[in-house]
Amino acid sequence: MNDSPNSQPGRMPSDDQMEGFLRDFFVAEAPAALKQPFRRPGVAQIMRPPVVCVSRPADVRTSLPRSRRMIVATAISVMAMLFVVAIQIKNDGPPQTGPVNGAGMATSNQTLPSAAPLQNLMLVSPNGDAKSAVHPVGEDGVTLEETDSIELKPQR
Amino acid sequence: MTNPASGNEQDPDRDQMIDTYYREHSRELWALFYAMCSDAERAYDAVQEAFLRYYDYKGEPVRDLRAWLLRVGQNWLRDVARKKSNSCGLLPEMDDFSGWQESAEDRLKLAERQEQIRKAMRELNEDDRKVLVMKYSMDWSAAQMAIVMDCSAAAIDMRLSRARRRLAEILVEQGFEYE
Repeated sequence: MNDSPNSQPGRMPSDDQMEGFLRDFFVAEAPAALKQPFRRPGVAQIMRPPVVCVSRPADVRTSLPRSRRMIVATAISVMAMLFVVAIQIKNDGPPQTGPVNGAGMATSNQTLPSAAPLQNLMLVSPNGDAKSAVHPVGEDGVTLEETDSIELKPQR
Repeated sequence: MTNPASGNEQDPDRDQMIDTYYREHSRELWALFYAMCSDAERAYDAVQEAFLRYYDYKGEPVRDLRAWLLRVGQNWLRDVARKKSNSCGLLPEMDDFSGWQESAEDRLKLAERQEQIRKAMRELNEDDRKVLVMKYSMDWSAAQMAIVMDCSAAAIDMRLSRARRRLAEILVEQGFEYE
Protein backbone atom coordinates (compact mmCIF):
# COMPACT_ATOMS: atom_id res chain seq x y z
CA MET A 1 0.00 0.00 0.00
CA ASN A 2 1.15 3.46 -0.70
CA ASP A 3 1.56 5.13 2.68
CA SER A 4 2.28 8.60 1.39
CA PRO A 5 -0.59 11.03 1.74
CA ASN A 6 -2.29 11.49 -1.55
CA SER A 7 -5.64 13.03 -2.13
CA GLN A 8 -5.64 12.83 -5.89
CA PRO A 9 -8.30 10.65 -7.47
CA GLY A 10 -7.02 7.39 -8.86
CA ARG A 11 -4.22 7.16 -6.26
CA MET A 12 -4.26 4.87 -3.24
CA PRO A 13 -4.92 6.77 0.01
CA SER A 14 -2.71 6.29 3.04
CA ASP A 15 -3.74 4.26 6.09
CA ASP A 16 -4.24 7.43 8.07
CA GLN A 17 -6.45 8.84 5.37
CA MET A 18 -8.45 5.65 5.25
CA GLU A 19 -8.83 5.60 9.03
CA GLY A 20 -10.19 9.12 9.21
CA PHE A 21 -12.25 8.57 6.16
CA LEU A 22 -13.84 5.37 7.57
CA ARG A 23 -14.56 6.96 10.93
CA ASP A 24 -16.34 9.84 9.23
CA PHE A 25 -18.25 7.40 7.10
CA PHE A 26 -19.56 5.41 10.06
CA VAL A 27 -20.43 8.49 12.06
CA ALA A 28 -22.61 9.67 9.18
CA GLU A 29 -23.94 6.18 8.58
CA ALA A 30 -25.26 5.37 12.06
CA PRO A 31 -28.94 6.32 12.32
CA ALA A 32 -29.68 9.06 14.80
CA ALA A 33 -32.66 7.01 15.95
CA LEU A 34 -30.24 4.61 17.64
CA LYS A 35 -29.72 7.20 20.33
CA GLN A 36 -33.41 7.18 21.15
CA PRO A 37 -34.77 4.79 23.77
CA PHE A 38 -36.45 1.59 22.72
CA ARG A 39 -39.96 2.23 21.44
CA ARG A 40 -42.03 -0.69 22.54
CA PRO A 41 -45.59 -1.20 21.28
CA GLY A 42 -48.16 0.85 23.14
CA VAL A 43 -45.67 3.34 24.41
CA ALA A 44 -47.33 6.09 22.40
CA GLN A 45 -50.32 5.88 24.71
CA ILE A 46 -48.23 6.11 27.81
CA MET A 47 -46.11 8.96 26.48
CA ARG A 48 -49.11 11.10 25.65
CA PRO A 49 -48.52 14.70 26.77
CA PRO A 50 -50.19 15.48 30.05
CA VAL A 51 -53.51 17.26 29.94
CA VAL A 52 -53.63 20.54 31.79
CA CYS A 53 -56.52 20.49 34.23
CA VAL A 54 -58.17 23.76 35.17
CA SER A 55 -60.60 23.86 38.07
CA ARG A 56 -64.04 25.11 37.19
CA PRO A 57 -65.35 28.20 39.01
CA ALA A 58 -68.09 27.28 41.44
CA ASP A 59 -70.62 29.80 40.14
CA VAL A 60 -70.54 28.61 36.55
CA ARG A 61 -73.71 26.72 35.67
CA THR A 62 -73.26 23.69 33.61
CA SER A 63 -75.77 22.61 31.04
CA LEU A 64 -76.38 19.15 29.80
CA PRO A 65 -74.60 18.16 26.66
CA ARG A 66 -76.49 18.65 23.44
CA SER A 67 -77.07 14.93 22.86
CA ARG A 68 -78.47 14.46 26.32
CA ARG A 69 -80.75 17.47 25.91
CA MET A 70 -82.09 15.99 22.68
CA ILE A 71 -82.88 12.72 24.40
CA VAL A 72 -84.69 14.46 27.23
CA ALA A 73 -86.72 16.59 24.81
CA THR A 74 -87.70 13.55 22.77
CA ALA A 75 -88.74 11.63 25.85
CA ILE A 76 -90.90 14.51 27.07
CA SER A 77 -92.55 14.81 23.65
CA VAL A 78 -93.33 11.11 23.53
CA MET A 79 -94.76 11.15 27.05
CA ALA A 80 -96.95 14.15 26.19
CA MET A 81 -98.27 12.43 23.09
CA LEU A 82 -99.01 9.25 25.04
CA PHE A 83 -100.84 11.30 27.65
CA VAL A 84 -103.01 12.99 25.01
CA VAL A 85 -103.83 9.66 23.36
CA ALA A 86 -104.71 8.10 26.70
CA ILE A 87 -107.12 10.94 27.51
CA GLN A 88 -108.69 10.65 24.07
CA ILE A 89 -109.27 6.93 24.50
CA LYS A 90 -110.75 7.41 27.93
CA ASN A 91 -113.27 9.97 26.66
CA ASP A 92 -114.32 8.13 23.48
CA GLY A 93 -114.67 4.64 24.88
CA PRO A 94 -113.47 1.64 22.97
CA PRO A 95 -112.71 2.40 19.35
CA GLN A 96 -114.99 1.05 16.58
CA THR A 97 -113.57 -1.90 14.85
CA GLY A 98 -115.44 -1.84 11.55
CA PRO A 99 -115.79 0.81 8.90
CA VAL A 100 -118.44 3.45 9.46
CA ASN A 101 -120.73 4.89 6.80
CA GLY A 102 -121.41 8.54 6.25
CA ALA A 103 -124.44 8.67 8.57
CA GLY A 104 -122.47 7.43 11.47
CA MET A 105 -124.21 4.05 11.44
CA ALA A 106 -122.29 0.86 11.62
CA THR A 107 -122.29 -1.22 8.47
CA SER A 108 -123.29 -4.84 8.14
CA ASN A 109 -119.90 -5.90 9.36
CA GLN A 110 -120.64 -4.51 12.77
CA THR A 111 -121.29 -7.13 15.39
CA LEU A 112 -124.68 -7.12 17.00
CA PRO A 113 -124.92 -6.44 20.68
CA SER A 114 -125.34 -9.69 22.49
CA ALA A 115 -127.97 -8.22 24.85
CA ALA A 116 -130.49 -7.76 21.97
CA PRO A 117 -132.23 -11.01 21.11
CA LEU A 118 -132.97 -11.76 17.46
CA GLN A 119 -136.77 -11.70 17.86
CA ASN A 120 -136.66 -8.05 19.00
CA LEU A 121 -135.14 -6.87 15.74
CA MET A 122 -137.55 -5.10 13.45
CA LEU A 123 -137.88 -6.13 9.83
CA VAL A 124 -137.75 -2.93 7.86
CA SER A 125 -138.19 -4.03 4.26
CA PRO A 126 -138.25 -7.65 3.32
CA ASN A 127 -138.64 -6.74 -0.39
CA GLY A 128 -135.80 -4.34 -0.72
CA ASP A 129 -135.89 -0.57 -0.82
CA ALA A 130 -136.86 0.42 -4.35
CA LYS A 131 -139.88 -1.21 -5.96
CA SER A 132 -142.02 -1.80 -2.89
CA ALA A 133 -141.83 1.74 -1.52
CA VAL A 134 -145.58 2.28 -1.88
CA HIS A 135 -146.65 -1.20 -0.84
CA PRO A 136 -147.16 -2.35 2.71
CA VAL A 137 -144.15 -4.03 4.07
CA GLY A 138 -145.58 -5.54 7.20
CA GLU A 139 -148.72 -7.02 8.71
CA ASP A 140 -149.90 -3.63 9.94
CA GLY A 141 -149.93 -2.18 6.39
CA VAL A 142 -147.16 0.38 6.82
CA THR A 143 -145.36 1.23 3.61
CA LEU A 144 -141.65 1.62 3.26
CA GLU A 145 -141.89 5.39 2.92
CA GLU A 146 -143.85 5.55 6.12
CA THR A 147 -141.27 3.59 7.97
CA ASP A 148 -138.81 6.43 7.46
CA SER A 149 -140.56 8.48 10.12
CA ILE A 150 -140.78 5.63 12.55
CA GLU A 151 -138.17 5.62 15.26
CA LEU A 152 -136.74 2.19 15.44
CA LYS A 153 -136.22 0.83 18.90
CA PRO A 154 -135.97 -2.69 20.10
CA GLN A 155 -138.85 -3.81 22.28
CA ARG A 156 -138.06 -4.20 25.89
CA MET B 1 -23.72 -10.01 30.12
CA THR B 2 -27.26 -9.79 31.31
CA ASN B 3 -29.14 -13.00 30.94
CA PRO B 4 -32.71 -12.04 31.58
CA ALA B 5 -35.38 -14.64 31.69
CA SER B 6 -38.40 -14.33 29.52
CA GLY B 7 -41.45 -13.09 31.29
CA ASN B 8 -44.76 -11.53 30.77
CA GLU B 9 -45.02 -8.17 29.11
CA GLN B 10 -46.58 -6.53 32.14
CA ASP B 11 -43.48 -7.06 34.22
CA PRO B 12 -41.99 -3.60 34.84
CA ASP B 13 -38.63 -5.09 35.80
CA ARG B 14 -38.43 -6.83 32.46
CA ASP B 15 -39.39 -3.65 30.64
CA GLN B 16 -36.68 -1.81 32.52
CA MET B 17 -34.18 -4.50 31.67
CA ILE B 18 -35.06 -4.32 27.97
CA ASP B 19 -34.68 -0.55 27.98
CA THR B 20 -31.29 -0.80 29.63
CA TYR B 21 -30.12 -3.54 27.34
CA TYR B 22 -31.26 -1.60 24.31
CA ARG B 23 -29.43 1.49 25.45
CA GLU B 24 -26.22 -0.42 26.00
CA HIS B 25 -26.22 -2.83 23.08
CA SER B 26 -28.34 -1.48 20.25
CA ARG B 27 -25.38 0.28 18.67
CA GLU B 28 -23.31 -2.88 18.69
CA LEU B 29 -26.14 -4.93 17.23
CA TRP B 30 -26.68 -2.30 14.57
CA ALA B 31 -23.00 -2.45 13.61
CA LEU B 32 -23.08 -6.22 13.31
CA PHE B 33 -26.27 -6.15 11.26
CA TYR B 34 -24.78 -3.41 9.16
CA ALA B 35 -21.80 -5.63 8.44
CA MET B 36 -24.27 -8.20 7.14
CA CYS B 37 -26.35 -6.00 4.87
CA SER B 38 -24.39 -2.74 4.28
CA ASP B 39 -27.61 -0.84 4.72
CA ALA B 40 -27.85 1.47 7.70
CA GLU B 41 -31.61 1.76 7.72
CA ARG B 42 -32.18 -1.93 7.26
CA ALA B 43 -29.69 -2.73 10.01
CA TYR B 44 -31.59 -0.36 12.29
CA ASP B 45 -34.86 -2.09 11.37
CA ALA B 46 -33.25 -5.41 12.23
CA VAL B 47 -32.32 -4.09 15.66
CA GLN B 48 -35.86 -2.87 16.25
CA GLU B 49 -37.31 -6.12 15.01
CA ALA B 50 -35.08 -8.20 17.27
CA PHE B 51 -35.96 -6.16 20.36
CA LEU B 52 -39.66 -6.12 19.52
CA ARG B 53 -39.69 -9.88 19.15
CA TYR B 54 -37.94 -10.25 22.43
CA TYR B 55 -40.46 -7.89 23.99
CA ASP B 56 -43.29 -10.15 22.82
CA TYR B 57 -41.40 -13.36 23.53
CA LYS B 58 -43.07 -15.64 26.08
CA GLY B 59 -41.17 -18.86 25.53
CA GLU B 60 -38.39 -20.52 27.42
CA PRO B 61 -35.98 -18.29 29.35
CA VAL B 62 -33.28 -16.79 27.13
CA ARG B 63 -29.82 -17.71 28.36
CA ASP B 64 -27.80 -15.43 26.12
CA LEU B 65 -29.81 -12.41 25.08
CA ARG B 66 -27.16 -10.99 22.80
CA ALA B 67 -26.92 -14.22 20.82
CA TRP B 68 -30.71 -14.47 20.76
CA LEU B 69 -31.12 -10.94 19.41
CA LEU B 70 -28.34 -11.45 16.87
CA ARG B 71 -29.98 -14.63 15.60
CA VAL B 72 -33.41 -13.01 15.33
CA GLY B 73 -32.06 -9.93 13.56
CA GLN B 74 -29.95 -12.02 11.24
CA ASN B 75 -32.93 -14.22 10.30
CA TRP B 76 -35.01 -11.14 9.70
CA LEU B 77 -32.34 -9.69 7.42
CA ARG B 78 -32.22 -12.95 5.48
CA ASP B 79 -35.99 -12.94 5.08
CA VAL B 80 -35.92 -9.39 3.82
CA ALA B 81 -33.09 -10.16 1.41
CA ARG B 82 -35.00 -13.20 0.14
CA LYS B 83 -38.10 -11.19 -0.49
CA LYS B 84 -36.03 -8.63 -2.37
CA SER B 85 -38.23 -5.85 -1.19
CA ASN B 86 -37.57 -3.05 -3.59
CA SER B 87 -38.80 -0.22 -1.50
CA CYS B 88 -38.22 2.93 -3.44
CA GLY B 89 -36.95 5.22 -0.74
CA LEU B 90 -35.06 8.41 -0.74
CA LEU B 91 -31.53 8.41 0.49
CA PRO B 92 -31.61 8.44 4.28
CA GLU B 93 -30.06 11.86 4.35
CA MET B 94 -32.74 13.22 2.07
CA ASP B 95 -35.65 12.20 4.26
CA ASP B 96 -35.58 15.21 6.46
CA PHE B 97 -34.61 18.64 5.22
CA SER B 98 -35.18 20.32 8.54
CA GLY B 99 -32.25 21.39 10.63
CA TRP B 100 -29.68 21.28 7.85
CA GLN B 101 -26.67 23.44 8.42
CA GLU B 102 -25.13 22.76 5.00
CA SER B 103 -26.51 23.69 1.65
CA ALA B 104 -28.57 21.21 -0.32
CA GLU B 105 -25.65 20.80 -2.71
CA ASP B 106 -23.30 19.84 0.11
CA ARG B 107 -25.85 17.40 1.46
CA LEU B 108 -26.26 15.80 -1.91
CA LYS B 109 -22.52 15.52 -2.32
CA LEU B 110 -22.21 13.86 1.07
CA ALA B 111 -25.07 11.48 0.30
CA GLU B 112 -23.45 10.55 -2.99
CA ARG B 113 -20.16 9.94 -1.25
CA GLN B 114 -21.73 7.77 1.39
CA GLU B 115 -23.48 5.74 -1.26
CA GLN B 116 -20.20 5.20 -3.11
CA ILE B 117 -18.58 3.87 0.04
CA ARG B 118 -21.56 1.67 0.79
CA LYS B 119 -21.28 0.25 -2.66
CA ALA B 120 -17.59 -0.44 -2.10
CA MET B 121 -18.32 -2.02 1.28
CA ARG B 122 -20.73 -4.42 -0.38
CA GLU B 123 -17.88 -5.65 -2.52
CA LEU B 124 -16.04 -6.86 0.58
CA ASN B 125 -16.75 -10.19 2.17
CA GLU B 126 -18.74 -10.24 5.41
CA ASP B 127 -15.80 -10.84 7.74
CA ASP B 128 -13.88 -7.91 6.26
CA ARG B 129 -16.92 -5.71 6.67
CA LYS B 130 -17.32 -6.90 10.25
CA VAL B 131 -13.81 -5.93 11.29
CA LEU B 132 -14.14 -2.55 9.63
CA VAL B 133 -17.46 -1.90 11.33
CA MET B 134 -16.25 -3.06 14.73
CA LYS B 135 -13.11 -0.98 14.45
CA TYR B 136 -14.46 2.24 12.99
CA SER B 137 -18.04 2.22 14.17
CA MET B 138 -17.66 0.58 17.56
CA ASP B 139 -14.04 1.53 18.15
CA TRP B 140 -13.31 -1.92 19.48
CA SER B 141 -9.82 -3.16 20.19
CA ALA B 142 -8.32 -6.11 18.33
CA ALA B 143 -8.75 -8.21 21.49
CA GLN B 144 -12.47 -7.48 21.68
CA MET B 145 -12.92 -8.26 18.02
CA ALA B 146 -10.94 -11.45 18.43
CA ILE B 147 -13.53 -12.76 20.90
CA VAL B 148 -16.39 -12.08 18.54
CA MET B 149 -14.59 -13.35 15.46
CA ASP B 150 -13.20 -16.35 17.32
CA CYS B 151 -9.60 -15.82 16.26
CA SER B 152 -6.40 -14.21 17.56
CA ALA B 153 -5.83 -10.48 17.90
CA ALA B 154 -2.95 -10.73 15.43
CA ALA B 155 -5.26 -12.31 12.90
CA ILE B 156 -7.70 -9.47 13.46
CA ASP B 157 -5.00 -6.87 12.82
CA MET B 158 -4.05 -8.62 9.62
CA ARG B 159 -7.63 -8.91 8.49
CA LEU B 160 -8.28 -5.27 9.32
CA SER B 161 -5.32 -4.10 7.31
CA ARG B 162 -6.30 -6.26 4.38
CA ALA B 163 -9.91 -5.10 4.49
CA ARG B 164 -8.89 -1.46 4.56
CA ARG B 165 -6.59 -1.93 1.62
CA ARG B 166 -9.17 -3.84 -0.36
CA LEU B 167 -11.74 -1.12 0.26
CA ALA B 168 -9.30 1.57 -0.87
CA GLU B 169 -8.65 -0.37 -4.06
CA ILE B 170 -12.35 -0.70 -4.81
CA LEU B 171 -12.87 3.00 -4.20
CA VAL B 172 -10.00 3.90 -6.49
CA GLU B 173 -11.49 1.66 -9.17
CA GLN B 174 -14.74 3.55 -8.76
CA GLY B 175 -12.94 6.84 -9.27
CA PHE B 176 -13.67 7.95 -5.74
CA GLU B 177 -12.22 11.32 -4.77
CA TYR B 178 -10.62 11.52 -1.32
CA GLU B 179 -10.75 14.85 0.37
